[in-house]
Amino acid sequence: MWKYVVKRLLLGALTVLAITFVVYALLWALPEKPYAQLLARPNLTDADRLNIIHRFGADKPFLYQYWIFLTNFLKPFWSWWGWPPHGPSPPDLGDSVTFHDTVAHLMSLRLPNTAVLMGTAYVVTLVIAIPVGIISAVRQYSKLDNFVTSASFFGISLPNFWFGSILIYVFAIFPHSHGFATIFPAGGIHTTGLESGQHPLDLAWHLVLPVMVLAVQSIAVYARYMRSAMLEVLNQDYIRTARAKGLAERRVIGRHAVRNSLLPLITLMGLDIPVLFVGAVVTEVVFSWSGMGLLFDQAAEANDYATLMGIVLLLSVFVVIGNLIADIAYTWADPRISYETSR
Amino acid sequence: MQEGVRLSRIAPPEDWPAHGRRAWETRMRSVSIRHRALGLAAVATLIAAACGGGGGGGTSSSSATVAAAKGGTLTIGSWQEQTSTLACQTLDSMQHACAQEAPMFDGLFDLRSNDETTAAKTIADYYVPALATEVPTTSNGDVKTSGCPHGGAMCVTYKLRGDVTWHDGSTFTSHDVCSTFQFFWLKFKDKNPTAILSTSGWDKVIACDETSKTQAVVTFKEVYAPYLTLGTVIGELLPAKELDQILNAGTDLAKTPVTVDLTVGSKNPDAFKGTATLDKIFIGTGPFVFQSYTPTQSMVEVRNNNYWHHSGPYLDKITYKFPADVSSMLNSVKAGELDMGLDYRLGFINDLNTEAKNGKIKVQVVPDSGAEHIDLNICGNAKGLCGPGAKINPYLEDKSIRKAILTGINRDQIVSSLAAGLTTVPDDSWFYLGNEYARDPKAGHTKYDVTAANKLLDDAGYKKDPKCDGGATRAFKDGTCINLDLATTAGNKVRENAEPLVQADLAAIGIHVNTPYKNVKSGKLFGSFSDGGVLYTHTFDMAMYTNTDSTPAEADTYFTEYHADCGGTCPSENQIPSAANHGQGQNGTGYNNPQVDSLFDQARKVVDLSKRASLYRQIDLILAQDLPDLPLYQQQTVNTYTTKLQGFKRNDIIWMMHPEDWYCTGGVCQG
Repeated sequence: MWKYVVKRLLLGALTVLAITFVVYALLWALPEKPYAQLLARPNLTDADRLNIIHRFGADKPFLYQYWIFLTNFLKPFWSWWGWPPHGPSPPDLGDSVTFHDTVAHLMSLRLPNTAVLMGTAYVVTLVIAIPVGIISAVRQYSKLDNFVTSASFFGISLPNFWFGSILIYVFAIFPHSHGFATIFPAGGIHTTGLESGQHPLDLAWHLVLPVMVLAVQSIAVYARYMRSAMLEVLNQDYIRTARAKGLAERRVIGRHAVRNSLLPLITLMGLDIPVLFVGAVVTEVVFSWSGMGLLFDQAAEANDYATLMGIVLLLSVFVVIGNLIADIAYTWADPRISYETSR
Repeated sequence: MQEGVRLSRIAPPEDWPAHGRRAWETRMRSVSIRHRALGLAAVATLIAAACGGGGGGGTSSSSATVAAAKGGTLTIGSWQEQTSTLACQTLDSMQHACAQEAPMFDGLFDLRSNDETTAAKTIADYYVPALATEVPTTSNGDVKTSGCPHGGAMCVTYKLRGDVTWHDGSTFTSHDVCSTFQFFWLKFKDKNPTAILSTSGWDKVIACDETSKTQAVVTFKEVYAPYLTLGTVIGELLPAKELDQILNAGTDLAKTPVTVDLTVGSKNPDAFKGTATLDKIFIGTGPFVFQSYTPTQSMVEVRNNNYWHHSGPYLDKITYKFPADVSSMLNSVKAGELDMGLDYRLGFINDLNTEAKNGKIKVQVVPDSGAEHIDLNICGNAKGLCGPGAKINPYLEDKSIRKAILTGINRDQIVSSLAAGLTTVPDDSWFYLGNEYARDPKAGHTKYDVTAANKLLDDAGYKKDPKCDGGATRAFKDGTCINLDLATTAGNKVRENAEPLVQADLAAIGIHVNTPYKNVKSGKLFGSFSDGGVLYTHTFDMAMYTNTDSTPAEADTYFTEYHADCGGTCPSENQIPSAANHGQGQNGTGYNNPQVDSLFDQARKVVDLSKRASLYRQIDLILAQDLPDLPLYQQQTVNTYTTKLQGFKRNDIIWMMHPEDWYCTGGVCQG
């Protein structure tokens, strides 16, 4: 197993490197350079222009710029493993032209916000979707199943920006405009003055609407997956055998059916792991949630290449990790799967 | 910088004409300015506010006489979060950053509100003294062009107040002024370890002398007419106590930690106290003092209890929050979570007016120092200055066609349908907007008249031809059908909605506007010459966007917009971008008039403000006759604020004007 994990990690590292090259090349090829607006400002002296160009390395060829990016990115790893040993430090992802900050620091500010939002939505999704999918499958074609199926399609079809806006109107704008206190806030992460992180209830209050938007769609998707996987398993011979042996239905479902139905869900969960850290662009924008999704949106609008690179890099790393976790989880869900030896 | 759609969230405003357009820098540059009324003026302001005069934007307070009350927290939505507390003009030029820092800052001078400058005769009429005791001019002897120290060609004497305390507790003196000049230019020249955005203007200074605690003399190596812009912009007056540490160490201002106690100078125990770099905190002399900044969340400023001016400030606290975009900000305003919303797009005006009917918010409309206009490509008249890659449009070379287009567009209809009638159509040259002293009344205002437009074209010999759209379109003298491309910033709904109106109006006079329109992303439209920007490579026929002043009331802003090569005698000053001049300038139309070049050049060298105004009025008149671009309507900044807030005046550059005069009815801003 460990051999397999190490092999996958090495392959993953190569994948991430390849992705950095491709993304860097794509960004570099865009007609709008990140420093164009700075150079275009009136009243710049020649020295000002040279300083800007030098700051961005804009006078250097592509491969040189990429090499600088790569060596800066990898430098902390060398120093970490070198002698004398250093403590871990974040990779140098460069400086953001628009935020006047290091990309690593920017991301460190936003990542926790996104993790809280997406993690909460993720947990809510699993807690609701898995039981709903199971019950829906066990009671196939019942009124409940029909309702769940209809609701799932409805949920999948809801555009986030529209659903979010509706929720904001219903729970924030409408009550306020009729003289009542807002039920849930229209946006933000904290109430002003309560930003210290010591007010979990205030945070939870702000989480309700964006989590609702994210979870409704995810619940619909996960429940559909769970239902179809369960239906397939419930028709297997070993389930029939288990019932024939006289096992209680609860034990048949819980012990034999559910576990074997989890494989497609594990795949889905693995694919969703990167999203936990990179965020949901639309939802974060609608609710002014200062997370990675909003950062991506802002960086994209500002042609902030360094920040975009950082986010894409993070995404690619978590794609690799998510897939690896999913692969490992397969062995737990289905003991027939093993990475120990080739057969 | 172009405006219209001022900025996207982060730095690069989505709809800004990158290329140096003015708005961007403009707003920033100005912002410092809060004008302090003196004694009776303050009382008058409060009375006016109570009577609605402070409402601005055509809105008025409904409460007749409300006594100014202390207390209250005002929560303001600003959808472009500052990238640092130096982002107004020092490291960046973010208009929203200026608004966020304005309550903490006093410049040497403040700007007057828009309503006080409609009859300005010179640029000095836009300024009032703040930390300086008078606005330096030649007439009061504070600006001299002879007998200057250090052999300078010009020197400016700044007479300073002696009763001002920085938030850090130090006394404001001439040393602060000179340290600031040392920082921006004298000490490091173009090798400043701090990545300041521009040294323009500062680089004309050769010395700053502290002739007394309350007087500094700044000497320029050459005549620098826009001298009033130095030291007024937010962040362009820095405390020597901290600045001297940076100057002595030769380090980056944004990366050098300083230890400060802002409770001392402000006498407010809630103010910031600790160690931080100067891009994370703010030290000023303004009516509010920095308390905290939580990136991505909020910035809090509390009352300066030791403010030098008068009985204000009244509010306890100002809190800025950073909604993701304008729509999110509007939602938060509607939900009562924000008491003020800054910088909506004009496209939101109908929604805002509807919301205002609930009586909880007011809509403030502020006329900008620029117009939404259509640039016309007249590179055919530029004698090759646009370069070989430029598009040459033979039709627009003819002034009669340009005049016919201006006459044939129903601009009042655009104003009423797209801007809810809340703005106006400027004169035929919009050069004077925001620089009222530069307005020549003879410039005239062309009225919409289809008959007159058709007659102009008929008289010029352009008849409708059966082979051109079945006889609906006119033929040019070379036999081709007159057709034009129209471009603007893709995604800007107001502009995109204006395009069919313009197209239909021009069709009515026999000029065909091609579809689809040539709309491109703002970055592409305003991109630099080297990046293939549409405007500056002259690859358009008609382009619709907005410019505003880059410095308050400074008509020289438009030097880069209209100046060419003086008929061949000043090639280094040529502002028509091309490969030959390395893409210098923003004269996208290819406008080439040596007379205008000469007037701009003269105005740069004249410090007598009346003479400058006269020169700019001549430019205004010529532009109205030549029509290199056609104004559609004066651009507007739109803000909202709670009806409980009083004393809020309007200024297109300093949105946060006079916060020391603001108060909430009953000392409570919510509800």
